[in-house]
Amino acid sequence: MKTKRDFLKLLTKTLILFPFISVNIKATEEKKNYKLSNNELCIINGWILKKEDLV
Amino acid sequence: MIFDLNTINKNPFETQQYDICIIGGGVAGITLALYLDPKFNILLLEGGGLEYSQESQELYEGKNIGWNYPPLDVWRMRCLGGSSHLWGGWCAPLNEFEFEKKSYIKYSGWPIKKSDLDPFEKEAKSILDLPEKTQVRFIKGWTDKLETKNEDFDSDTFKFSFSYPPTNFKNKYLTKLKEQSNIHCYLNANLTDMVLNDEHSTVNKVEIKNYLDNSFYISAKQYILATGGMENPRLLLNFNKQMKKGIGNDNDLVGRFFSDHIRIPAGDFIVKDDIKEIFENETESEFYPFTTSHEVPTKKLQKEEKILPAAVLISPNKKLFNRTWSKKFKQQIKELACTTEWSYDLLKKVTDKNIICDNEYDGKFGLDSSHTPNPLSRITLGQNIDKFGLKRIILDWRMSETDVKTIKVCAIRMAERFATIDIGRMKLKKWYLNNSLKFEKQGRVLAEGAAHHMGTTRMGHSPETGVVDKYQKVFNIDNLYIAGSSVFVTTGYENPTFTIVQMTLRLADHLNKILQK
Repeated sequence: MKTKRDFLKLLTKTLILFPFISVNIKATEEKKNYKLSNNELCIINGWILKKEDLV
Repeated sequence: MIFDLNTINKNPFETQQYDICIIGGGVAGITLALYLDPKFNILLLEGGGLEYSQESQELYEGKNIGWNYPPLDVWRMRCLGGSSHLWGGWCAPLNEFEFEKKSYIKYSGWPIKKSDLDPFEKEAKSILDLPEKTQVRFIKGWTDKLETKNEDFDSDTFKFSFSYPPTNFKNKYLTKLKEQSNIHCYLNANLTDMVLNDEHSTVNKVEIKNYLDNSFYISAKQYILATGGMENPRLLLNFNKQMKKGIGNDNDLVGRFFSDHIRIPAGDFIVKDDIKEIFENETESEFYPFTTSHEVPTKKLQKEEKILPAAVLISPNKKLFNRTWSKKFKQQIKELACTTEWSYDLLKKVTDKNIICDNEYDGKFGLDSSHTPNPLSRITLGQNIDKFGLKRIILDWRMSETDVKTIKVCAIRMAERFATIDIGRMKLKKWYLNNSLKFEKQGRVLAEGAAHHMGTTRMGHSPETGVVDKYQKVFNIDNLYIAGSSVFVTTGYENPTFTIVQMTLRLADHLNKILQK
């Protein structure tokens, strides 16, 4: 059985990861619609970014 | 000499012989009158007076059934000087590539080349009060950065000059028109009919009316219609007593191919600190920040993507510039007011001004795009008539797949370029990246015209492809010419006034030669 501490850890992890998950969903959707001419670029929420911007 | 037809008691035209009758006292009409050989008797007819009047302007009213467009009596001026009372002063010649036939653009290709207009460039600059050399009003450090490793866009092709303040043809040429004895300029003289010979091959006379409804008939050797991109087709379509489809309209081309430059926002951008420094060292002027950068797709990119040229306008926010202390202070107040709704309302109430809050980014970008020649984009006549019994305009401005593609490709490629050369990042509006958002619903609300009315009596190689020939003479009518942007075949991305003046000077040159014979 998970302790309260484990639960909080999981919640924190989820909260931290959530924005990235959300960004990835959006990125996948946008990728479907337009193919960029440069492989080093990606689209996040309308922004055309360098992949290194995501690190 | 200038006369007012409203105050004339006796018919002044009974005893007059005119070589040339020019209908329309705007940019093209005035230029033509002044550059024809002064040994010819010239009649210049202007439908309005010296200044704006409601009675004249009202004749421009019409209906729009197509894309969003301002009311038809708003973006043009019906008085001596025409729309030079309204224009912004941006000037550039069309580039050589614009005149070429492109296999991927239907109805493209002019019967003339850039080299046909080049001889008139110097004089056109003088008429429009432009400097001999192109003024570079762009910020050098900024355009240099954009130029780096640039294969998709070209700043060099963007060679604009600025008529500043914009030349007003009435103010500039009124004295000359008054003094030149071979020019009879009649104000409040409205063209209401055109009478052809029995064979429909020559204009015999035209009817004009003043606002008191007095009618006059005038004969001349040559007639030139120079009433603007909307009125030229409207008048020709209205004159249908002898030719059922209207004059010059045997092939149903008059009024078709209505074009305007498409202005559409693309998104926002942020720039890196070293770029910000460039702006901080620049003082805001009457030209900045509006002219900080224009980028045009290269010929290579146009061919590859099968698109038209468009200018990508990149406009940094005013706040980036080196500003005076008073402007900086005002900016601080504005920024503070823009933080909450109540402070915004308070400032609006106190100043009684419409406050525009700059967004959180460093600037905006958008496009000034060409318009694809499209026969379905057109001017026709409605059932409503004006004071003189002429039917009013119905405008159906339409865009095509190529227009949408041009806008999307240029905006996305520019955003890619921003990131690739690492000067900043761009954020595109939703519609650009999502093909499921149809332009008709999403882009349509963003796009607007630029008051550049073109293409409605286009130039062609034959009567099947155009209303006028390469000398701007209406096909199959010996003595009727058309001047102005209605004869343009394609629009380019350049503002049209410079080309209108160049083409009018070429027409004057041609008429001088014809009348010498």
